[in-house]
Amino acid sequence: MRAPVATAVAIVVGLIILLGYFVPVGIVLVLRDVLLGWAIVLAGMAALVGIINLVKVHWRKSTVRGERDPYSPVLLIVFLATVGAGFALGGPSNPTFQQVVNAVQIPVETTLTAVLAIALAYAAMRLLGRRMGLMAIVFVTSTVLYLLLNSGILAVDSGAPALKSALGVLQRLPVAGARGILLGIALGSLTTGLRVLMGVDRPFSG
Amino acid sequence: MADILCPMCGKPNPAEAEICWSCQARLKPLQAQQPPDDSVPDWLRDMRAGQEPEEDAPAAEEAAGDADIPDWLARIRQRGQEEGGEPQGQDAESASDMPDWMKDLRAEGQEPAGQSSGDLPAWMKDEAADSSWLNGLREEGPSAPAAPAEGGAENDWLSSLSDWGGDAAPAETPGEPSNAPQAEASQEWGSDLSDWSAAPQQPGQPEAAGSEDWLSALGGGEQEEPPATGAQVFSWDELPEAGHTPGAAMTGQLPDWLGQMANSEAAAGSNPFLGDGEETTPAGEEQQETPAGFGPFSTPPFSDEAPVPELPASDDTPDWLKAFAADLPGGEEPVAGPFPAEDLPEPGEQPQEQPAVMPYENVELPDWLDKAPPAEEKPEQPPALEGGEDLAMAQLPGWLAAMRPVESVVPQNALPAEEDDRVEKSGPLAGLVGALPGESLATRVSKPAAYSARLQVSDRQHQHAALIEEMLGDEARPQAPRGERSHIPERIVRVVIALVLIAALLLPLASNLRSMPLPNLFQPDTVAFQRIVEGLPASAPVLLAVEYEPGLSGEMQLAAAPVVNQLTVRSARLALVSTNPSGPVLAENLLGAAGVRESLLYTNLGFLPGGTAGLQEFASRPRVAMQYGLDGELAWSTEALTGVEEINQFGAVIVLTENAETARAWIEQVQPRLGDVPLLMVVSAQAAPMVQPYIDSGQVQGMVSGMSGGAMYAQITSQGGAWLDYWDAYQFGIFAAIAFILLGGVVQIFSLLFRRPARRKA
Repeated sequence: MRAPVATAVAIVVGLIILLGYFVPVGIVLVLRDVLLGWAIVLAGMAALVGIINLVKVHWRKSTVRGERDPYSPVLLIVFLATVGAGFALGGPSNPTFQQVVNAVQIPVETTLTAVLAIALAYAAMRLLGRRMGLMAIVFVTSTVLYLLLNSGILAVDSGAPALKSALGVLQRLPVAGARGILLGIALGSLTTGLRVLMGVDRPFSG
Repeated sequence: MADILCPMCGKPNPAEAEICWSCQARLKPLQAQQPPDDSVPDWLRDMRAGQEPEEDAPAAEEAAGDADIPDWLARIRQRGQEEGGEPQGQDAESASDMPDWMKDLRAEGQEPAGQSSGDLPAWMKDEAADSSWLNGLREEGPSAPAAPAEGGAENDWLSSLSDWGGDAAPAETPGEPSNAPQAEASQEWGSDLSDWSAAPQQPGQPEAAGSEDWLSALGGGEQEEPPATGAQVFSWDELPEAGHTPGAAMTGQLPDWLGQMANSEAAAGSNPFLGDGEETTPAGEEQQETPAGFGPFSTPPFSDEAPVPELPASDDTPDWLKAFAADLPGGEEPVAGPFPAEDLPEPGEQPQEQPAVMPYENVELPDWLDKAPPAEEKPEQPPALEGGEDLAMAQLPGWLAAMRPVESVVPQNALPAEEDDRVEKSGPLAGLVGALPGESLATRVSKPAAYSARLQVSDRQHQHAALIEEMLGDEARPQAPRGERSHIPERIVRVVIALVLIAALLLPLASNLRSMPLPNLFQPDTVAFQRIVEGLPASAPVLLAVEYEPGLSGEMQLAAAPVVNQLTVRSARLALVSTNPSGPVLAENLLGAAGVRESLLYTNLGFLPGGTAGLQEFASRPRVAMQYGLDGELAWSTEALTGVEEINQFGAVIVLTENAETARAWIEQVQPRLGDVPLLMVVSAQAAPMVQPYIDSGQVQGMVSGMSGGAMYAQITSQGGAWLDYWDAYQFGIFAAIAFILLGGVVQIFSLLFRRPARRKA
């Protein structure tokens, strides 16, 4: 067995947390809270370790001979500038520091989302040409229908009760599919948790 | 000086060396000098000296000569065979008038072999007494079946001749018994077989002189003119083995010299049965004329029943024959000659002129048989041994070869044996044919030829190979997938789509027309959300979780702004928290975009690490999980969080997220800890369907989804704001996307409809 200690620790901690849900008394709750506190600290340290690893990797890429990555120095420079600005300006609550986020991060990510919207529109336009079939037609029809519903153009009261009922039915249609997806996710999560608790799956063993 | 090679080891030696310097083998063998055979007469020695070992007469000539038997002669033989003997009286009567040699002939043909010796002449008696082999032949001759070894029916006349000769052979054996040298010569009949062939000599002549005379008479043609095929010399190999019938052996193995001798007699006019008017046998026709000349030799015993025809009265009749006829009793009566009367030719009739009835002559033969290819010429025999005139060429007769155990078992065509006619010239094996050539094997060793492994290919073959290779390469080369034909390049289409969408968004913003109607039908979830917020007590602490990404902040800010505005109206105390690292900044940005940062009590707890575990810890112990705010101060001691110890002490928990997974984590980890505290969701349009089931289950009490939900919430609360500026742009952008999807679908459907018939035609 690979990493038996880690497996044993994972199983014991998982059983204590699970037991805290069903038997929220005494020592079980105390142990659960302590373990959850350790998990938050460890997750924070993991984020710090990830940041250090990111700086190390891009430092190596920017200094290695022959295959030098031109974007790595840029990343390092921006990282050091942001950290310096955060420490210098007092953190994210500083309006000046928030301008860095609003002027750099939000436009960049929003631009990527806009490009995604154009790509999706183009793909939906050529969908029937790529794969003509019943499901493709249903998919395109659903896309058009819910674009119309979310646009708000149909949220205008026309005085027709049938329209209201129809809109109500159309709004409920996605719920059935979403429930199926959520039930699948729940069953998958339950199975994964049981496998980890029984030591069948050991994602932490490296 | 030329070196000689050792026959044993093959190494060169000087010419004068007698033994090999390497293997000590004798290079010059001690060849025994045979003393001159005094027993051989001079004439025979001279003849041997003059003879050149020539090739054997082709067997085909013998067969052809045997087949050319006249019909009349065949009948004579047949009758003679049927009538095995003659009455003794007639025999005695006729014998008194016959010449001695004729009597001998008759006696040989009538008497049994056992009695023949008593009637033999003196010279023959001695010969018979001295020649034990000949006695054996006599004893075995009549008893042994005269089965022809070869030739079959074609050699009938030769068979009869053999039968006769088998008995007459002793009588015809030359050599006077009283003559000692002649007797010795007769024992060496392998070398003196020419003497045996001289049997038809006139008896009573002096032996020595007579032998040469009859030979001169018989073979005068041979001595005066060269024989057609040369003299034939028998060797011991050609002799029949013990127990074998001489007659049978002679049937198939009659040597050529015998026929040639007869031809030569006919050519010389010495044949007693050949008239003067008859043409001598030409060299080229000797095969057909031979039976006529050999009449007396092949004649069966005399028959009394058959009428004897008259001998042809011709002036060309030799004197001896005339005298013979005059001595016959009755003068003109038919002579009981060796031939039946009806078989003899009429007087004046030329025997040669009788049409020779050939076997199957009157039978229509098929074309393929008429056009049968000529007999293959017998390959020439190697030249005679030089200097070895006394060594007879070994040749195994056919009948003897057939009796050999190896050849009778092993098929002749199984392994083509190499003919090795090489005669050993020196050494103890001198004179033997087919000896293992040790010398040649030793000298045959040479360096093996070097063969190139490179394929010799001509230019034409190169061209053909290149052509085939090209053809195969075309077959094996993968065909490039034919791209889908597009009338409009994809890049242009994408650019057009982008330009149209940007125009659809910018034009309403730039024009600020606000032409699109505002929603007046609201979703129940939005209404419930508004009612819960509306029902919050004043200055109630509200936990606001900002969980969306910066890329979707535009939609989320427009959807959450009416809610935040209403909270401000309700003087709510806000606690901001996020499990997203950028969430605290986005929360600050949201409050700034709503314009309520200064007027609203809030505490930014910052980033909550640990994901779901952090949410679980925060839900169970919020003060422990998030002790400090984003500004570094104790968060739970601020005015905004006064009186809040547990999470269920908040008036409401509102989650702003565009991710359904994040919404699910909050619902699963935090909602059970809330108790009666409502959990509200402000989600993007893409996450709304996944949150809807939790609304139906009561885990989430209200939801605002997307910009449309924010617009509805603003409409419900009668709020204005930035959303009104973006409402037209938002709807135009959605309409443009719908138009592109529908247009593209229609174009693709029509293109498929018009493309399929073309493919079917192809």
